[in-house]
Amino acid sequence: MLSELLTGFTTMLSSPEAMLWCLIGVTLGTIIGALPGLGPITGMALLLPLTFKMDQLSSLILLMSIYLGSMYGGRISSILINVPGDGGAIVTTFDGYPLARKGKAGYALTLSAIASFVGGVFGFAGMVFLTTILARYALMFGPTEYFSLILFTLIVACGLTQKNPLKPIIATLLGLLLSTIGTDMVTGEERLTFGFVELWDGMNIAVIGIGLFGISEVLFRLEEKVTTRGMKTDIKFSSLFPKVSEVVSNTGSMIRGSIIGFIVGVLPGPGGLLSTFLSYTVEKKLSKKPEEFGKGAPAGLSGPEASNNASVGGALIPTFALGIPGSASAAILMGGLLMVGLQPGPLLFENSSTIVWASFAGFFIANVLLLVLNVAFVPAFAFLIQKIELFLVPFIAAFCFIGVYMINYSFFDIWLMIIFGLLGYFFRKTNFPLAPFFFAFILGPMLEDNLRKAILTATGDLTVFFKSPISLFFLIATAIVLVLPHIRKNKTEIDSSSKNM
Amino acid sequence: MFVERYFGLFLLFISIVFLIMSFGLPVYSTNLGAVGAGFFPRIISILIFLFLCFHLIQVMRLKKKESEEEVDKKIRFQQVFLILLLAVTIGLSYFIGMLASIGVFMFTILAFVQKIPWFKAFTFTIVVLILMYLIFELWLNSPLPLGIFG
Repeated sequence: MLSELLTGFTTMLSSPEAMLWCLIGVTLGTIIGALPGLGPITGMALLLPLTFKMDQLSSLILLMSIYLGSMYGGRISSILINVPGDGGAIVTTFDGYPLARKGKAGYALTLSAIASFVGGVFGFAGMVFLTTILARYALMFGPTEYFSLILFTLIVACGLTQKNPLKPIIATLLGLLLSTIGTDMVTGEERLTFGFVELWDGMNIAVIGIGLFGISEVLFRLEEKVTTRGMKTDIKFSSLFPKVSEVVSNTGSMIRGSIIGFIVGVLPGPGGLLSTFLSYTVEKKLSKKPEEFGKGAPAGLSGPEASNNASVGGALIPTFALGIPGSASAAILMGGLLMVGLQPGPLLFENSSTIVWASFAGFFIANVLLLVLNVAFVPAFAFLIQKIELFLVPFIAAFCFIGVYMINYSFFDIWLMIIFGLLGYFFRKTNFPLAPFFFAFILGPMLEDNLRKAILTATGDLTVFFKSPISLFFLIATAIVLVLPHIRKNKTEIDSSSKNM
Repeated sequence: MFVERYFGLFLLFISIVFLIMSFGLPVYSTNLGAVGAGFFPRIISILIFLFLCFHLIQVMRLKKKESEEEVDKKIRFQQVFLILLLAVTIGLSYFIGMLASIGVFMFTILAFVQKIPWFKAFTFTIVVLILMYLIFELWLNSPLPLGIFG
């Protein structure tokens, strides 16, 4: 494993092109992450068309760097203007902004960058050691086990614990339904294409992703009153370098945050967001001065930031090892992998081992570059973000337009993008979650394919899913995930009614 | 409530369309002794239909308790304008080429929606167009439609 990793580092460092894309990716990622509203999903979706003509390693490195970079960047606007760049940076506002108001913006930015680095490296280590192990076990998986695993993933990613569980379920089902459009893989029949020849191959993941996240973002941005104009850009360079003791005193929270982030990240669903809240709660409970949380407690900043970045490595494990993304961002990354001819899953390590290990090395290099960029160049980023805000709407729309055309040189795809942009806008407007929809759209063909293969192998016997221990395990886990929120809800209702009595 | 209700009804309509279409596909492909092309879409569309019915009942029951935040008419107009302009850009690409039509799109949005001074908007548009030309035409070697310039 270590020799393969070293080879990966050699491949990566000896490829100037891949290194350049790594630098471009982390820079763009930081900017995308720092811009309120834009996040890793939109950023990667927008740049997906660029990767088609790049070599496999460069495209993978670019997408991974954007993913990681936006996790770092999200904290800039959280700390400086109290507006999170993306979901994972919400918790950063709790203590990051109060620190900035106390005149410690430089300290908050550097501490969070170091915490992000610690989390990122932890995620990297976990990814290196666990992905190959999981991939080895995944070779034991047949269609039956894969079907149950994907079903479990979809149900978990649904986020049934939300206030209204119906919406994520509908979004997931809709994603699954739309994924069936195109020629049937088994019988070759044309289905649900409405007579459009362009739909015979189904709808392209990038077209749907760009429409859902890019165009809907443009429409939403026109409505939003969020602005970066009040962003503080005159941060003293000397304030960006805190004392070593100040950093060391936060080591515990960074490690705890990293562990939480990594574990939550491996599970499907909104890993980054969930892990930051979890880490914040843990830090507050463990703190000797919990009353300081929300008023500028360093541990409330470093723990969640580390967990947010550690979740990236965690989310990439099932993506590489099983071909099942651990988050919506990882789903876009998986779309990118598929489009450049890499098939994620256990065989990836056998067929494209060099590229995978080089990309892991690239992940580490990206972390180092991000630490440097996010400490030394933070004032420059703050300045840039403030200046480009007004130009974003037409820029994103134009980039979506040309990018989507590039995929198949088809104007039909642009129409599809507009339709899905509108769908995405109304989804957001009515609080239907976009991520489960997109997740289901990507995993839909795999789910159906494995279901049909499993039934075919078992000559129509539907009990086959209960006969395999691995499949049974995932089905039971799925049932628990489905039932648990209802039990909890009923328990809370019983508790509150007994209190009232 | 208004958007929620009508969007729910729209999704219900879509699910019904897909449900009807899925009935035209075989659930079992007997010659292969396996599940047919219609099995999965039919199950999924039935499930969506049922869940959407539950959802709509919930939405209707809410009456007008939760009032929706009204979006400014000007913003609504800007959103419709942007979508229409994207559609026009598709049409324009056939005549004046893709890069030129994107230029028209960007300048119009910057100058008339974002209210950026014309010179600034023009400069930004030109810079982006040069960047796009360098990336897509020269670097990625993608044949973009040129229209009358071709």
